[in-house]
Amino acid sequence: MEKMDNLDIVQEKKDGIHIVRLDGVLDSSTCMNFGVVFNAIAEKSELLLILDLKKLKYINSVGIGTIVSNIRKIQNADGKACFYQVSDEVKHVFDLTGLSNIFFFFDDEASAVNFLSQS
Amino acid sequence: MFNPRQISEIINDYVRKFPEKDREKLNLNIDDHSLFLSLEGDIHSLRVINVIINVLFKNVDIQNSDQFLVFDLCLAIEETMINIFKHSYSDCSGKVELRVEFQNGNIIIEIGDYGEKGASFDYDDQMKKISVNEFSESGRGMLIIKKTIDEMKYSSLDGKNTLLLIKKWKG
Repeated sequence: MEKMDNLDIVQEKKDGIHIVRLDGVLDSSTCMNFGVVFNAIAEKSELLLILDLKKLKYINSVGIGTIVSNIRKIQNADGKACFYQVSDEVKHVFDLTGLSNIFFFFDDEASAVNFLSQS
Repeated sequence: MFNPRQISEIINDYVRKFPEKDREKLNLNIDDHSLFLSLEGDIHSLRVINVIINVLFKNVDIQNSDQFLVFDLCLAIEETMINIFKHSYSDCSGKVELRVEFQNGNIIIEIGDYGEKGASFDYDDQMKKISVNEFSESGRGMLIIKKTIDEMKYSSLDGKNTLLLIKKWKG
C-alpha cells in the first residue's frame, strides 16, 4: 500500500444499470475528481447503480464521505445503489465507520443486479 | 524490532523518488527508537507521509493476529492529518509534525500542528454530525481514529497542538 497511485474511473451501462468501476485509491488527492464524476452520475432520478470496488485498494474518510453523500442523493431521487466485490481493506473502513449496516454489499455482479432489479 | 539504519536506508530510497517540491518541504530524522518527520504542506502532502509510514510499519516487526494492524495505523495517522489540514489551519495548509516511537509493546504516535487550538480534535462535534444524519458527508475521521487506536490524548502548549495516539500491538 505504498500509495502514490491515482484513481481510474470506468463507467458502463448494462440492462439499465449504471456500473462504476474504481481502480486505484480514493483518498484526499483523488477524491475531488471522483466527486465531480459521481455527482454528475447521481443527478439522474431513479438511478440504479453498482459501485464495483474490486480494484479499489484504499479509501479514507474523505472518500467515504463522497460516496455516502452521493448515495443519499440517489436514494432521495428514488434510485438504488449497492457495492460489489469490495476488498477486505475497503470493507474494513466501511465497518469502522458503521456504514456496512446501512449499505448493501454483494460478492458477485449477478447478485448485485438481482438486488437492484427488485422493486 | 526497529533497526534504524535499515529503516533509514529503505525510507530514504523512497524519499529520493519523491518530486523535488515534496522533498524540499520534508524534514526526516530516524534515531534508535523513533522516526520523526515535519512537513509544510496541505492535504495533498499526505501522500508523502503515507508512503513513509507505510514503509516504516511494514519494515518493523509489529505483526500480530490483527490483519489490519498496519492498515489501521496508517489510516489513523492520515485521518488525524486530514483533520489538522481541514480544521486547524484556516487556509488548509501549514506545518505538521509526526513522531512514531516503538517501546514496550506500544506504538506511540505523536502528531503536532501549530494551528487553531482544539480545532482538529472535536470528537463530540464529529459524532454529533453522524448521529444527526447517518448519511452525513463528514464526521467519520475521528470515529476511525477512535476505533483503530487504543488510547488518545490531545494537548496544546505554547502554540503547538499535539494528539498522542497509543496502539498496543503485542497480542
